[in-house]
Amino acid sequence: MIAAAVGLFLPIGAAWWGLRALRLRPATDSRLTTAAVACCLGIGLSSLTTFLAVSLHLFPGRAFVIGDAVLWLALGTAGWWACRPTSQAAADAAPRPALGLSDWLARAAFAVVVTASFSVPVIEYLSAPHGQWDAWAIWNQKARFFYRAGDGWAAWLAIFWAQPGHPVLVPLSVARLWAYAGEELTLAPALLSGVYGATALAVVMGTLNVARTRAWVAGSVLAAPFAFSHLVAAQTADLPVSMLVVTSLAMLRQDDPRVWRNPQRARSALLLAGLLASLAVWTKNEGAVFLAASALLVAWIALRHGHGRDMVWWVAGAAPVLAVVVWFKLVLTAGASPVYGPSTTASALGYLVLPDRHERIIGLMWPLFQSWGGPWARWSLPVVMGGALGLALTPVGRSGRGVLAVVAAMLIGYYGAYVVTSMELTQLVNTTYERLVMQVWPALVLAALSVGEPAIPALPRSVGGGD
Amino acid sequence: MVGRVQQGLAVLAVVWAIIAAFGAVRGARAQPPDPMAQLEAEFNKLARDLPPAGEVGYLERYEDAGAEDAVRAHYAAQYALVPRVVVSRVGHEFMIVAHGMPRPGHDPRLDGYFLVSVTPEDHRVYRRLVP
Repeated sequence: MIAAAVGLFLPIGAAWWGLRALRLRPATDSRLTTAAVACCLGIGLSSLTTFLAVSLHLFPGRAFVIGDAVLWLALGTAGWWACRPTSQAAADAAPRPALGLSDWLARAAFAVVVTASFSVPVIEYLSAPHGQWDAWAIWNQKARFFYRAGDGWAAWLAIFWAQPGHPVLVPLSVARLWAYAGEELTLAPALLSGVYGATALAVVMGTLNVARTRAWVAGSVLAAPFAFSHLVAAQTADLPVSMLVVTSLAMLRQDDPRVWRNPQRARSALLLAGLLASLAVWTKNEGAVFLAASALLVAWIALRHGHGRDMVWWVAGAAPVLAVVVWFKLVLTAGASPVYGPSTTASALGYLVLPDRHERIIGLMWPLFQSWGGPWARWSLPVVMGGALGLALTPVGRSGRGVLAVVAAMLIGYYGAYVVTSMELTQLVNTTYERLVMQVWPALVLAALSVGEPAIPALPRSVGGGD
Repeated sequence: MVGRVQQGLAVLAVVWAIIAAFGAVRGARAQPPDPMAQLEAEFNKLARDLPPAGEVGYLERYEDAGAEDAVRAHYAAQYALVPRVVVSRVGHEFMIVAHGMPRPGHDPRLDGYFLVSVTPEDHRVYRRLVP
């Protein structure tokens, strides 16, 4: 297990030092946000190098592990070396403001909530070490194909229930850690799932600035529902999608206009947002819905700040990974039939204009909408949605508007998929609704707690600063 | 005034979060036991009598083949026996016949096959001679 943990944290560390060396900074700059971005990039980029090794018949032998470790160590060391002269400046951080009783209470409540929430995956792991249904039927099964068959992985294209057309960030990440461990540890996908959950939490809190109490309240609200902690236990691909969605959106936050007036900061934020969005597409097909929705947000941001050409940086960030996804979809898995797609274009159009179908889908979704979150968290989704929407309509909620618009576009896209699918609706909606909402839940919480506040001038290099 | 409203909402949100988090722990403890680890271990025992890769057949349950337990058994066999592809079709050289899947007495779908091995849990591997 130690070897698997080393395999997980090597690329994350390399990404951390790489971000600092290349001076790639999120729009909302904080160490916690940068750490979250490093987690996303470390896991995402190492899945791509693993895919390259698989394609070159180098996976999963000892040579792969040594080569992979050397690669990430070398990149991390180079990054650390490049930013060594500036690391001293971090020690000059200004003191944080004193905390009041309410601040401490919010932090204590967060500790209680997170302890309870992260005990859920531990409890569930002890009774279901292989994860939930989709984990062993799809994601961990594909990881086994990569690990056991190497370049013969494509055999799973014949397994229709394994969603053969979905991209493979999650299975490759699991198989990579198994290669490090030298065995198929069930703890490896469980550890990864925990990191996905912790990263989503970190990015929301870091973006809202952990020097402020709202970040701790947001962390509590995000982690509390059973839907969240149950999905951390699931070992499926929905949580990494939600992690990448919220991290990409965090790069595009509009709460600090200075970022967008600084060309270097704006470009690095757009580059990271594009890269993270493309990794969401590399994780699951739903990532494509996010990519399309966030492209509109990026266009709006670029035009609003009079830097239309800066969109090129977002495209440059997304293009390399998207090229791999296109190759994967159009060449490697071209024969895989879409599981959820419409049978024909005519039938899809027919469904779109059928009032009975919309009525049926809304009828199926309504009770799930109310009960989403778990036994003691009913109505959490409507309340948070209403809160985010209400806040976005006020002047102090400006910074959450873009995030909310992307979330709305994604939910409309998912609803559209329900409308045009040829699958049996009752089972489809009942088995996917909770997970699809979970993909946008961290972004929704981010939007709902995005209350505009004056910047703290005393925190230039601490958790909330960095300039 | 606005600050007090925000503080009040924050208190409500945190109290709700604590209640919901403990509800989540309760929900986790109430989850039914997962049979996958056991099923996987059972089907693993068949691996030594199957080819190392390629397609092998899987006999669907003679009735109500779409029931959750029947589907779960098929998927579990696939999960355990990767990198083989376990297809629910008769006619392959090797057939996996899980416990409770064949028709009691005589199942004509197994005509031409002979028994290769059987596990203590009554999962079987059948084979037919190919020209």
